[in-house]
Amino acid sequence: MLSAAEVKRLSMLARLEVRPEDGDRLARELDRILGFVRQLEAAPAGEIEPLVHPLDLAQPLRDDEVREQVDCETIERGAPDVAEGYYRVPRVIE
Amino acid sequence: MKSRLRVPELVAADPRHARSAADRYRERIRVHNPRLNAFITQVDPEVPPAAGPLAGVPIAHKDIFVTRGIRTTCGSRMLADFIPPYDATVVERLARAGCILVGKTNMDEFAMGSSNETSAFGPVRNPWDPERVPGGSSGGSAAAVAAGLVPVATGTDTGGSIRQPAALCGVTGFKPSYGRVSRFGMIAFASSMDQAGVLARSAEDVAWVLRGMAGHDPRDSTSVDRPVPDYVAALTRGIRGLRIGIVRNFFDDGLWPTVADRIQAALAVLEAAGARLTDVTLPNLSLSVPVYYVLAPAECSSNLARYDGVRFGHRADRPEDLFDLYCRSRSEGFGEEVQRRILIGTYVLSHGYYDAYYLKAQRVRRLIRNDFLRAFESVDLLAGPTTPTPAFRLGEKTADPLTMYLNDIYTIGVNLAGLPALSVPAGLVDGLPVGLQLIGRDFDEETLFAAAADFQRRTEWHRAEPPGFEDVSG
Amino acid sequence: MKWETVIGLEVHVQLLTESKIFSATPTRYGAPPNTQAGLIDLGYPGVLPVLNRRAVELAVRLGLAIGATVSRRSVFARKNYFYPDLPKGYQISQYDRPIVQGGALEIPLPEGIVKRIGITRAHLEEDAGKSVHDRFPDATGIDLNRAGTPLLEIVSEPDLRSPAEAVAYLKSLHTLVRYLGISDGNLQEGSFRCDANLSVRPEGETRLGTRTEIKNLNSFRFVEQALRHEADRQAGVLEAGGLVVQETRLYDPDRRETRPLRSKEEAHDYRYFPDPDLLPLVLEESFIERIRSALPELPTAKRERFRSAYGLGPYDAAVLTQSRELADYYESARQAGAPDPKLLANWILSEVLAKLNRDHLEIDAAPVPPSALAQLLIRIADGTLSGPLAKTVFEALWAGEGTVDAIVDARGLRQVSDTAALEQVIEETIASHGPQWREYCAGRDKLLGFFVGQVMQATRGRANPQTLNALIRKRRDGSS
Repeated sequence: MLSAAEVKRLSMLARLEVRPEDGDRLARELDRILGFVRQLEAAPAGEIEPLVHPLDLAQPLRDDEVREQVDCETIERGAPDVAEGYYRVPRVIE
Repeated sequence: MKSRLRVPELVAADPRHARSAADRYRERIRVHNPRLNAFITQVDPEVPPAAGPLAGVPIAHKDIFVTRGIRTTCGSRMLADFIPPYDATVVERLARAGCILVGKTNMDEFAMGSSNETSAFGPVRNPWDPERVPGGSSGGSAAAVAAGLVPVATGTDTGGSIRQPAALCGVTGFKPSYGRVSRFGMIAFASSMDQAGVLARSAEDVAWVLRGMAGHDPRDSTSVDRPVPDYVAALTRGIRGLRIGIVRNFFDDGLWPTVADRIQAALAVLEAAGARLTDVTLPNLSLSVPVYYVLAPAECSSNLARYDGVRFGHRADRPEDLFDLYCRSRSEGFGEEVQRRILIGTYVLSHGYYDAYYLKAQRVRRLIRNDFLRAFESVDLLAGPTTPTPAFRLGEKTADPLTMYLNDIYTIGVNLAGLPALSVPAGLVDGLPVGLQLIGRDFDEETLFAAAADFQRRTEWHRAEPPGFEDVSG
Repeated sequence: MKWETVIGLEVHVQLLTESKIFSATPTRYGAPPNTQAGLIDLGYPGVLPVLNRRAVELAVRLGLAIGATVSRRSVFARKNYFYPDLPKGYQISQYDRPIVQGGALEIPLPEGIVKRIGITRAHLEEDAGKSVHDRFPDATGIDLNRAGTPLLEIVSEPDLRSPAEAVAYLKSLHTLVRYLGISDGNLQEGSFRCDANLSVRPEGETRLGTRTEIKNLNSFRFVEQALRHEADRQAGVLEAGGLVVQETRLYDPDRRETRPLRSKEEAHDYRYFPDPDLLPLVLEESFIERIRSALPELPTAKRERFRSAYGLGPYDAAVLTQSRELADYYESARQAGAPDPKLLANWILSEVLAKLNRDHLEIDAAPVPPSALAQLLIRIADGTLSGPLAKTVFEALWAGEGTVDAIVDARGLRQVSDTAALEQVIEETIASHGPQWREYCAGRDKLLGFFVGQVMQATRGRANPQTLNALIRKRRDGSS
């Protein structure tokens, strides 16, 4: 069973808020899914090359040219909090 | 009462004609959509262009394709007010071909679901029985086409999201080879499996539309630079002489006997048309669901990290600090299933688990693809049911995510392997549609069209109309 | 106890491209906030990355220059973490399969010693944006113009043994990337940024101690200071019986100390995995060979050639080849006929560099072109100008007063080497300084300088010093 601490670690990494009253249910659900996928452990895959892309193709390369015009006005209109051209977030202390 | 128009019949030489076709469908959406909730956003058609190979064909886009200036939600509260500043390649190409956009269809949130019940805009109802799900995640597109609210709709298929709702709603759903259609502007769920496709009444209609949207796009590195064959021309090739492998694994327990009967009957039609049927077993196919539920969540956990309340999308009110801004914006914006998958994906990629889960799943993924490639050494197509059961009831599988996942057991392997596949209506079980799935070789969409069109020349299932939605538009 | 410092450096070099690594927006520095952040840079829903060929070529160039293995197949991965200047919630980088592996950089140390520093790897990645903390009273502003700028991260082996060596390494690398034209190397604008890993161990110990990572090393001067402070701090901790904590520390140049970065809410777990939006980067042999054949002469080779071909000392050769432009200046002057290679080196190293420094100019902008300097040195060699006169002419050249010959004529600076003319001035000088002349003839050799000075004054500095010296001696020897 996934521990409460484990669920907390995952939710922090993923930046999701898990309400305390949901913690147990979520842990059970995640545990069941992880238990299900764990059947892969027994699969006879050995050292076979992992398949990341279905197609064995190489990355295409683009010419180094400026082509995109930035439409600041439209982009700003869609942003939750913009001032003086900056996106704003609560103060970050480094 | 006139039967519904085929896409080639809708292609209008006269723009006034096109306008009236679009208006007829708009009217049907207005009348019938409240019962189905198939659309998230209805779009008033602009004056359609006079030219183009699809001039005047009304179309609906799954709300996962971004549309410039038209709200695109991806079925999520996160993007409830998102107005994209650009068009997806698919949207752009179909518009250029002359299609008229009439609306954006409902879907499972971020395409994560098999019943359309994870949509933040409420579930879509199956036109064949409003108490039942339409399937998902392209459930809005499937229901809209089935109910005649639109002749064709786009969809996306990551683990069966076109084929499964097509089967459950009794329409034809086509997922092309991975790389055939550009993913640019298609909001990502699991990038290595997502592929855009088409839902329509018939293989013929699908071929017309897919021809207009397929092809290389330099803006998508994973889109393949090879010529697009004429799918419409492939429709007349016929089944005769094709070797079709029946995937025995698909007929194991879990498949309803009544569904199995419909599939057997459909296979008999293929055989009568001159196909040679053989049995095929894909030894590792049973692992496709667990592989999928490692890889898709892994990719989605990263793909959905951009929704952080800073540049677009939902932002929590009065955040205490940055961490609070992130956590609350995301937990308020995402529904339960999306959050569950993000957490699973975070887990399988995290330190100490990566090799056992993610890496192992990618290895097994190759085994599964190799199984398909081996099978295609001796057959031209693979066949089987699209789903183990007809449409289930709303709420029937929401309590247990795992039960829901197993609904995609016959469709997921195809996405892991990147192959093209389709579902065609193959009859009714207790008044509910059942789909026959055909799977093709890499980039051999033509053989799929040939077989499906021939099948549909010999059957009437794709013409069946759900009660209460018979076409009255004449 | 004697402590040995062990340092490895990670240098982020911004590559000199027009557009970003995965998008077609400009990389220009200093634009108003977010005016160069396009939809791909912002991580908009639905966008996809496409790799910039030029960035790949520049990375290969570095790989070839340091004798590394250029991977025929490398892979882009996602490094996942949340930070407001990282729009997608992940950085596209290379992880277990970088484009450049192995290689070495030779760095010059005092007394002509050259040390080989191993390079572990260099990989391509995208830069993040910038957080601005002083713009708003209770908010941090985010400017994403820099997001997506191509970076090459160059990671050294822990082969450096002192802060001074670290600086020598950075200077060599800085010279190299500018030679190769892969970066402008502008430190102020952040085109060349350095993080260091440092540990100390008792001398003679072979195992590595616990290291800390030091960030915010934005000038060569800070690097040396910061590393010295950190080495002292670690030695102090160990001498007091404590343990060094593996952590990231920030250098504060005002307080001249390193301090731990405020601990994050959690330990990092970057969850690297191959980016499914990008395919493996496969490089054909012909692609690599085309880049190899176009490589410029590298600093080490040029330094050696300057020593052997021009007979320069190690110091002169090193300084002249510090930048390609300075070396080109030297060789252009040679080509324009500057006769004496060592004298030319002296002139550039003293006069030219001093003036550039005074006027805050780069060598490309020097008002005295190499051909003019060559002409000046020709006039020294043919006796037209003495050293001191030449300096006067050089000042005039720098001030833009015309060509060498025009300045010489206009100011009447031609050197007087005519024996008869000089002899006459010498006679006049002796006549007016009889007592001094007698003392000189009586053996006070120091008075030679006095007479030279007098004659120079009388000729306004134009007398040829060698001729003058010889004539005065000859006059004394004749009169005794």
